[in-house]
Amino acid sequence: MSEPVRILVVEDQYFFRLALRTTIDTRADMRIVAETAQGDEALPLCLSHKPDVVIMDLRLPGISGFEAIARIHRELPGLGILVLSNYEGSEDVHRALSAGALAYLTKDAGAEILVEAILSVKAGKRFVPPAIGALLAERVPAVQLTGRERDVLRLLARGCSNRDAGEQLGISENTVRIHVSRILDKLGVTDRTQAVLLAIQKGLVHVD
Amino acid sequence: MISRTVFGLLAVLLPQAARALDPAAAISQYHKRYWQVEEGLPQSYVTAIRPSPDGYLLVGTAEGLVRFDGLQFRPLQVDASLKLANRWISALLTARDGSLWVGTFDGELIELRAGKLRSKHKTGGSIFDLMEDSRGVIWASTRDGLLHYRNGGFLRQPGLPPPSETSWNVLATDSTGGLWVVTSAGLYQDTGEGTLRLRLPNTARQGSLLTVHAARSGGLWLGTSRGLFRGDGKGAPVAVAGVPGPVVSVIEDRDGVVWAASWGHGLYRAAHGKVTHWSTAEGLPDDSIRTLTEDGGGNLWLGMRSGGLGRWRDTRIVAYGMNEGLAGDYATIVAPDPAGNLWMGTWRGGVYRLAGDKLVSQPVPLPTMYFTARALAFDPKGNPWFGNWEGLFEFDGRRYKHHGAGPETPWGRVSALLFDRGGGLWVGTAGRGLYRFTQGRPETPPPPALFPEAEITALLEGSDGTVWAGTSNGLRRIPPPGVTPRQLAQFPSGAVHSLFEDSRGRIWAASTGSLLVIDAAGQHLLDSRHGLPDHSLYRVLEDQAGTFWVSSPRGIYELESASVERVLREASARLSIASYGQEDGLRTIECHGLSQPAGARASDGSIWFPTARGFVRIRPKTQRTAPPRVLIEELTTNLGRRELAPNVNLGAGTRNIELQFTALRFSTPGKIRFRYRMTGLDSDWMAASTLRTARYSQLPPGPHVFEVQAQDPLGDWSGAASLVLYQEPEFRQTWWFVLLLGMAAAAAVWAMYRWRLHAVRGRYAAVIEERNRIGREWHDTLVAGFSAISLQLEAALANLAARPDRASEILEMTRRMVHHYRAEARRVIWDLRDNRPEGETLPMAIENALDRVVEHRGIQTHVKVEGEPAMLPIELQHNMLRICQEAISNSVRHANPARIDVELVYRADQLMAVVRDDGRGFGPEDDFGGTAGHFGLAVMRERARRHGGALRIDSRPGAGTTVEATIPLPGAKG
Repeated sequence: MSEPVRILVVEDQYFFRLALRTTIDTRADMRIVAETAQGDEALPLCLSHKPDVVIMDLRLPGISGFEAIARIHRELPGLGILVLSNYEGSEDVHRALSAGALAYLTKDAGAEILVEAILSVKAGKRFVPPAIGALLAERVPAVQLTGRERDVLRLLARGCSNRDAGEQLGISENTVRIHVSRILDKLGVTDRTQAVLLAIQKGLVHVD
Repeated sequence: MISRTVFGLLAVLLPQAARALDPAAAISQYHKRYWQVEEGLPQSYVTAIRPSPDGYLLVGTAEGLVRFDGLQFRPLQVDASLKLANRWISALLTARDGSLWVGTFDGELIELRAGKLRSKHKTGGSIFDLMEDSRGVIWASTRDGLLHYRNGGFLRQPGLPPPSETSWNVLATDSTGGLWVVTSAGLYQDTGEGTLRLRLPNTARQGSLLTVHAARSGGLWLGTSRGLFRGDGKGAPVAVAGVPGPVVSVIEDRDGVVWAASWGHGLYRAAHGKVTHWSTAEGLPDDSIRTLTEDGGGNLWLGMRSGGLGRWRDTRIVAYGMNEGLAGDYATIVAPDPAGNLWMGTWRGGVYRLAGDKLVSQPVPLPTMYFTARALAFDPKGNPWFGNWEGLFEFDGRRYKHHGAGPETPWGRVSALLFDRGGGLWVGTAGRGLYRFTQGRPETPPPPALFPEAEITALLEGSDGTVWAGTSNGLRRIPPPGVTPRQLAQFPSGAVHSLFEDSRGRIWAASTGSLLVIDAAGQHLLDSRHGLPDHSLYRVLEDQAGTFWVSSPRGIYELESASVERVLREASARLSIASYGQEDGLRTIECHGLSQPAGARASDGSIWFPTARGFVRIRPKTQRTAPPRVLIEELTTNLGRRELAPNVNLGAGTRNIELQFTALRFSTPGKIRFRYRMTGLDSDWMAASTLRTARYSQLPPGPHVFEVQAQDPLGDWSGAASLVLYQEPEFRQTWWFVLLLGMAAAAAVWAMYRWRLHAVRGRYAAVIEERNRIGREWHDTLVAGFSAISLQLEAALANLAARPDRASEILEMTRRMVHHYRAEARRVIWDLRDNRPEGETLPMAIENALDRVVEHRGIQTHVKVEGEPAMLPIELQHNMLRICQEAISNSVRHANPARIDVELVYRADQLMAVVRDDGRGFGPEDDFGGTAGHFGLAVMRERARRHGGALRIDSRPGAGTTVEATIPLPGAKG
């Protein structure tokens, strides 16, 4: 038998970590070598424990999962990263994959799919379940909001008015209004509520 | 001519008395009233009296000119620069064109026209007299000579000596229009050619001429240093005997009675060849009268040197007492004999019979001083029978016969007498009842008394033959023989003071505070409910007009006849009552009520009552007097006095509006009642009263009409005097201010709405955020939880066949997971339901959690807070709460403690919670992170880590457990 796959789990939900451990420890061909709940511990652990696969959650305290993926991928481009997240937005999927992840699973994927994904990622192959793939396909690639626009949209999703958003971002209300109209344009909607709803749906903004 | 109209108007408006001062009356019978400084006169030397064009009386004194309305003296409201209020006024004239001329002691002539005072002339010497002749030329007699007013200036009449120092009423114009002037040389006449000729020089026979007055029937009345003379200005004047000099003022009143004031001797009246006299001996304040005037109402006004102002007038009620020659004043009986002549009885003052206007003394059985007339009745022969407590005195025209002296006469104390139509004599006694002598004279032995022991106070035979007896304890009646007495209600008790049958056959019984009227319909009790006073009412009489007169110890009351009929029909009506007192001619308000009868009506219709100061006669009313004329005198506000004009503008902010009004009536002004109203403010007339002021604190903006009317007692309401007031609106009352206010209010409402919207949105945003958080947590936690459970179950299934014990372990763990997530779900749902009370702080929440968990377990708990509890982000507090909850429940479940302490430490940069128990503790060998399922610590650690904080656990077996969670605060992120 070949060496068991070395897995690093980066997950902030305790019980899910437990469940992962249960699932993985049941199998002889995989082994969890390290766990962490903090995003910023991911890279150091990768460096110290040298896993083959990193199971990465996107919502983490400290730095976000996307950032952690980006760091690992920069440092260790050969390391396979499997995203296991609650986020189902096409934008999230796209971002994660763009950042360097090889696989994207939702947490309700089930043990079978999970194992399959792990083995795929170990082999360096992309693994995206059909449902997720469909999401990706659905995604309108042109929606590329600027950082500022994303900020504005995030604030709108929180229920801020143009003025409040301007105050928070340190820009004038007028500027905010300009951003908003651009956002509406890019998303192809007619009012802010639609924009916010769409953004949340797609994962363009997370209501954190 | 305007002047004619004014005069005519005045003549109509001012009440016309039938006479001036009744020449047939004695001077003593005139009502006299005097005013001096105490009553408001500026000074008690009255030099001139004239009626003003608008109905007031102008009174000039040595200290200024005042206007009198009958009640009050007020300075003329004119330009103060001429200081009329303090000048020594010496002459007054109201010209026919309505202007007023004032002459002063220091020689100034002032004209008041249309409210403006103008000085017309300044001479060096006093103005003695002012007069307007028939052509309208104003003449002034001054110490410098005679002046007349022509073309705006005064011209001196040349060739005339000045008047003497103590002659003041020196000008007269006779019926032909000729001018007469008294000078120190004698009487001059204006010949009409611009010159005056001496007609009557001063002679020793007639004395120095002092005053002249034109007689109505032609000729002149002349007052001289020697007395009063009648002449025609040509021949020698004829002296009027009985009037000594020096006569300084003479007037002839409208009845032709001549009044002459003799300086230092009082006032003389010459009427129908008779001269009567009144002086300080009779009660005149001052024997030196300077001026006499008759006003439009026939009143005589006197101006005295130190006695002030006097008014003599005729009153409807005329007194007859000792002043008029009676021997005594205590009047008690007035009774008509069968021929209709009135007999008047007194106590110790004699007996009189009325002949015309005169009371003729009658013989009395005892010396006057000893004779009291208590009762009087006339037998069928017309002879008077007197009764008193010494018995009966029968007069046959020549001699008196005395009946019933002595103690054996049970009826000897006579209090009432009656001869019935059958000729029977009824004797009412004071305490021994009523005796009936059918033979018309006393019998011995007397018949048994009716109502023995009653005190009979009055007797009356009704037209139906019923004999009524008033007693000290109610009314009794004896029906005529053969007549069954009608069923009547219980007679009221209370002393009956008199009995009277009116023209409709109704029996009136007067008592204290009430009148009982008995007619065919039954009994009517009139009392204070109908307006009657609540003291004794003595005698009731009815005059020819149907008006009822009631005497009392407090004056005489007049009951208007229509109101009497109304009250007898409906018990809820009220009587129209006028009261009469000393102002109206009574010398005393105390009428007499004990003797019987205490009042009667004479054949001329006059009503006579006995009083404690003589008899009074109420003359029949000959005509209705017009209501008095009302004038609005003054308007003052908080901004000062306002000029009266037909329209008055009141500026914004005007308050305390006070209107003063008066009615010009010089007879009994105090009885005049007023009512007023302000349109827009009063819906109806304000209740009538004698007050002459109306006050309003404030008027609403806009025009208002103030109206006031006056009324004599029992008279009609006069026409209204009115004033139009326009109240400027205050800023806050103008329409555009209201509009502004409305707009401001609307704007405020709009702003509030927007603010609320904003606040709601803010809250909504917060709620959304909260919901989002909850949703997110639900999503993340629970979905992840389900995923985790699902994975576990898969793993369990995978191991079930091969390694069942492993599967069993896995399932056990799964079970705990489910338990955990169920609790999480409950907590999340609880959050969603907002079960947590609004104001619950973290410490409180921890306390509550503690209480919930240790309930019934007998564990001691304590929560301590250190530092300033601050409002931290909900997320943070929430998680800290969960950490504490977990630590506490772990402790309870595993450590079996006796005591749990929780400490919350708030610091500027972090929040720390320490949960300490004294339980079992645990060591490193205890599995708290692993599969055994005690997840608590791991979960707690995770929560702390989620916020960048840390968890520290310190425990030793048997030594308790301490869980310390530290979370940095957002602001302090470094």
